[in-house]
Amino acid sequence: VKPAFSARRRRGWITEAAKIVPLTLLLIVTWIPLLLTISLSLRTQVSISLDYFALPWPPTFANYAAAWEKVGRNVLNSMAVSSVTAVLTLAVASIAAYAFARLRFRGKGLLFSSIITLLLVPYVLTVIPRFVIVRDLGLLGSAWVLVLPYVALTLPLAVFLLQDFFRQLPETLVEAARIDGAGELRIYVSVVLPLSLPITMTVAILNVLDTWNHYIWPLIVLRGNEGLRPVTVAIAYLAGESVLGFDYGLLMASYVLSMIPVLVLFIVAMRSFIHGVTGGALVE
Amino acid sequence: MATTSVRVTKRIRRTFRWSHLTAYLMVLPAIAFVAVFSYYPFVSTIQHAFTAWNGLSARPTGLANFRELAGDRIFLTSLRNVLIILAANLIKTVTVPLLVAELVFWLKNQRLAYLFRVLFVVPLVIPEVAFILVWKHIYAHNGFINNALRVLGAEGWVTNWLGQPDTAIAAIVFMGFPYVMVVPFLIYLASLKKITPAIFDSAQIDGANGLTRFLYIDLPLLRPALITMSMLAMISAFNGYYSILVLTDGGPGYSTMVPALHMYKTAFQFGRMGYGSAVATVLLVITATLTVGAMLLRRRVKT
Repeated sequence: VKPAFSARRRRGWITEAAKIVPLTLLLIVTWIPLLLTISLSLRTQVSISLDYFALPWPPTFANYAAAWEKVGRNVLNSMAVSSVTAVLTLAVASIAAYAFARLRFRGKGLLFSSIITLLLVPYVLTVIPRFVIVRDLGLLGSAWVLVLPYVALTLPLAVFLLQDFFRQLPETLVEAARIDGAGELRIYVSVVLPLSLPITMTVAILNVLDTWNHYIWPLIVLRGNEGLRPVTVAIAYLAGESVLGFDYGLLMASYVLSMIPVLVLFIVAMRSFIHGVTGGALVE
Repeated sequence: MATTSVRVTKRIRRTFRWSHLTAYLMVLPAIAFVAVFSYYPFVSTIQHAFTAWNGLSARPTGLANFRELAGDRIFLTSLRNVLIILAANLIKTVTVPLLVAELVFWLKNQRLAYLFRVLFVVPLVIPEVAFILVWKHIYAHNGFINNALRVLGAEGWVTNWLGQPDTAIAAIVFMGFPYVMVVPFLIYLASLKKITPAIFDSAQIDGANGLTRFLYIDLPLLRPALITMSMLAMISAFNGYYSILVLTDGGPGYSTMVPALHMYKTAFQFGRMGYGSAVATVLLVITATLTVGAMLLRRRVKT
């Protein structure tokens, strides 16, 4: 019995290795750009031009100080815009999603699909009139020119995910509150909201990942308004400036700065992110 | 007579109860946001496709924009490019993420599987612009690829990858190698996890090996997910111009131009918003056709 067992075990080990080896190779190649970025960001311009592939040892953090000078303000801009957008989107989406999931009213189906259908309409294609409308509303020059359209663009996904969650809440919970004489708003605030904290977190992360990435819209609406530039636009400008464009260490440090806030958020809430992408509504 | 009217008011009162008003008030802000920033621009784009428009005043011109489009060489080049990118995107979406999902799913060591999943997902935090800029550096004259070629003694291969028409479009397609795209990977993995273990067990009893199991069990059951991801890949290929704007700005010349970038440039650099709207309208029609087609296909596969 024993030899057969060990043969089987060896075969199991081989098939396991046959998965681990290709996965590891793919992982290394996937991470090369990121590792390269971090490595170059820790080196001086002289050291990079002498030997491009040298290891960043001893590391220098001078690039980070210089990069913060250049784009620190823009990192804070992006953080402010993304947080305000996330809070506003969640407020608007959550209350609407509750009505769509739990209340009955005329035209509900039509109104709901009019929001959800937008998930399939690529918003980059309707950018021209959107620019005209924010201009006519007098939003150019204020941060609302970013926040308000972002809320509209991220609403459909938020409404979709939240209503899916609200629909699955057991009716008995709501019924109990209703018997106690609570109105719909009261039920929403004191029963439903506390229960929906995890899904709210997921939607918030997806929201920030989305709004953090915007590049073309701020490029269009913030022309001549450098003070409000998000970090995405700032690092692209930095890369385009001819003298700085060759200071790879500085550029790479600014790229790293652009990802740190999202990385921190991601580490804090990765579980709920993965769950949000794969936990039902989207996989159907 | 009186009784009917009482009954009618009663019914009206029943339909429009207080809770109905509450419900309308609850959905109103959401509706207002999408109406102003999504529906109005959508309708306005299509309307202005038939005009000469500078953002202030529009003059109706009928089909003139579309007629011009049919002979617009930049537009035709951009269509060729977008088809190349689309084909590449489709292949990328249904191969590497699926392979990685399969390998991670069938790992026996669950901790290792979790570790791989996390490490493949983390690059998602790189903002798209930063990711593209890093790749721009990889292709740069003194960047990663050229330096690697010098170290390997292949000086002759050193070139300006993004600066030449024949290598630029290839470089754009190659960007992101090896294409372990996070969302398709997570979706495929989740779909595999939803397959009932009993199906795999019975396959094993029937003596199915890895490949036959993949072909006859995993693949058919993953078809809806594969179609959804392909649909999203097609839509994003058609409408994406972010990476090309940053990498080459459509150049050299207009050799890497794509339709959506053409729309952006005509509207915001040359002020021809009517013509830009016409490009956008063509893209909207193509996208809608692809979406409906994919949805019909998906429904047929599912039943």
